[in-house]
Amino acid sequence: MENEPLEILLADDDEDDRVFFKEALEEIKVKTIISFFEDGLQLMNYLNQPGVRLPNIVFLDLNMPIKGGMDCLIEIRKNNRLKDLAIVIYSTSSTDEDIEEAFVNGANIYIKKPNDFSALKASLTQVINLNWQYHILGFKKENFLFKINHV
Amino acid sequence: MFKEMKSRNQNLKSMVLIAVFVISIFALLFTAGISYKQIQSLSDSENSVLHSYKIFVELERLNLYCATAETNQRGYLLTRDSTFLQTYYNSLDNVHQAYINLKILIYSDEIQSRNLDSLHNLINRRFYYAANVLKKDNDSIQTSDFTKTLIINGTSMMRQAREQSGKMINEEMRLLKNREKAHKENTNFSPVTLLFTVALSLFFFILAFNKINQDLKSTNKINNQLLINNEIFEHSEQIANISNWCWNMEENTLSFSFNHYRLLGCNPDEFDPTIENFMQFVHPDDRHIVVEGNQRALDDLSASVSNFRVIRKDGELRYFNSIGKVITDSFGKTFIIGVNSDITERYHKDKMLEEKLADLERSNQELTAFNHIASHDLQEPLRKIQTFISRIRDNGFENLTANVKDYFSGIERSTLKMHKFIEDLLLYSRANKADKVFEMADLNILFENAKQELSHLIEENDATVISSVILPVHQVIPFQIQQLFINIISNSIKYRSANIPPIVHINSSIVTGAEIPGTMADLSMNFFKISISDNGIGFEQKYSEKLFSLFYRLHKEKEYSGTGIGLSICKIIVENHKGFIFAEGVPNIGSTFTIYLPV
Repeated sequence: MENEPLEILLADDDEDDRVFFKEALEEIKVKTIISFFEDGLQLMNYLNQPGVRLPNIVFLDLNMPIKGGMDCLIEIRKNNRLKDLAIVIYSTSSTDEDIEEAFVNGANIYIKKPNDFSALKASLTQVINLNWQYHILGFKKENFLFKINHV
Repeated sequence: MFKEMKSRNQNLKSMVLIAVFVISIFALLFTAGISYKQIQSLSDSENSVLHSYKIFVELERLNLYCATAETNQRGYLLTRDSTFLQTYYNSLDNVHQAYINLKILIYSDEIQSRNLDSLHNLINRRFYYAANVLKKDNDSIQTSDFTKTLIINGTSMMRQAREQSGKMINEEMRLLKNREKAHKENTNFSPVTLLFTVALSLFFFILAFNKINQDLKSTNKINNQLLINNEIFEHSEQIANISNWCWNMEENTLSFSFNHYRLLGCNPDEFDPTIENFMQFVHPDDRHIVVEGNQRALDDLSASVSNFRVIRKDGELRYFNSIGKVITDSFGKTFIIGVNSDITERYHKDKMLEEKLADLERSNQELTAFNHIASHDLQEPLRKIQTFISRIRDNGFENLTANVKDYFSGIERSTLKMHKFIEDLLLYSRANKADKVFEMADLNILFENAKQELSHLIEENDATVISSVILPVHQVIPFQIQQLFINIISNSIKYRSANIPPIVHINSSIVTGAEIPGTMADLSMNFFKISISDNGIGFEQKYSEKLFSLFYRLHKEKEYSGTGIGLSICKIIVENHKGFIFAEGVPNIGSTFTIYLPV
């Protein structure tokens, strides 16, 4: 299990963010396989392919053209095959409304996109090293929003 | 109540008037009765006096005829002329006739009747002797002694008869005297009673007249007041652009006030007050509203309000508001009374206000949209710039020349500044947002959260933030109160004195509105007074109010960093809670922020 590479999906329309994300993951000492999607529709098309291998973690940007992250989240949670996926919201927004909505719709973690590369790395490290099973069982709203105490 | 008293008074007045009138009529009838009685008794007494005189006359006639009979008897005895005898017999008849007359006249008088009877007896005896004398005389030519005796006896009878008649006359005289006295009394008494009764009725008539006159005067006064009131009412209606109408349900008649016609652009009484005529002026599309309004007033008996359009005589469109209500007057009659008002100006103003409100809502929505832009579209590139900066600082920065390093640091500072601005602006607009959810919250926890949020700043500055009391649990917008604590505490630490570690102290108590400086607060209400004081650089008191205005900063950029938004947010938050916030400062000693929240 330790040696199995972690499969991660990111749906984000912003190319720079995808690059930052990729570079941050590369700098973390964890083996990962990452796939990128430019909008929610692309992601859902991928996930809905019959017999596709399900990823370990899905990162969703909220604000995307064609299909936003929130719609993807709702769709995934309704789908019997996908509903147990670990989903991390990864957005610029930090409004209470967005956080609340994501929580209600069943996202596991909410990360506000940091404005510092090392903070991004720290966040991703924390998320990847999370004991997911434990996190989902003891899931509380208080530890939903990831606070990275690093500026 | 006042009206009731007035009408009762009015009733009393008319009752008095009726009483006076009835009394007057009785007085008049009484006077007439008395006068009739008086006149009757006067004529009675006159009649009785006349009666006595008649008796005198008859007695005299009786005496006269007796005397005539005697004279003729003598004449015959002397002359033997039969004409004397004829006259003698005639006189006898007359005597008898006079006796009959007297008998009738004194029928009711017992004494005189007895007197008359004895007189009659005497006369009869006298003429019995006379008859015998005449009989003897026929038998023998010579006058015998017997005849003489007869004559003497007859004369004696005659004398007695005269005495008897004298007695009767005396008796009648006595009666007459009494009757004359009574009659005189009657004639004296009649004018006095007549005068008295006339005076009495005159008194009552004057009283009645006075009363009527008084009532007339007060009626006139009331009428005048009524006229004045009417005029005032009329003018008031014109000034206020209102009119009234009254619909008598039983008689199905309508009445309009003068202004009702004017509001329709007509002259007073220009058309007959009927529903149909009024409906001609109501906008065809709105006629059902008027009908329904009247029906509503009839159905639930409460005031029914309707708004409709009216087309005036000159074609101008006006907006009317009508309130109708069913009332039952003191006589049990049912009316709908209504007040119409021309609300065209108000309608247009309302319309304008509505438009302005819509504008405001639109601009509010635009502001929300702007917030969205600020939160996403501005933050997004800025965040990326910052990330790129952090990437350069992490690798490649060391290779830059000293000059470029300086430029780079400049970029980094400005970006940070911009980031702070955007964040504060977002907080400000969030504090302004309309949906404010009040919840029961423990202010101690909110204060601790604020401290937690500021732990970096507190550690960096070696600051002490202490609370010496237990803060209240209160109905608040929790995240805003937390923000309030964060802003004030960070403000205190930011504007610290250079050489002493900052100490921020929070205190709380309950005060009444009267203790709040300024007069805006409800004096009887209780407030939580929360004060946060520090030992920072303070400020001059004259700036205390300006501190809370947006973008206002007391210090130069280089001395103290700040956006000038933090305290403005505080003010909005406190106002959202219907409270007050004040700042007090002493330069180089410290400042105190005092917040009053209604209990």
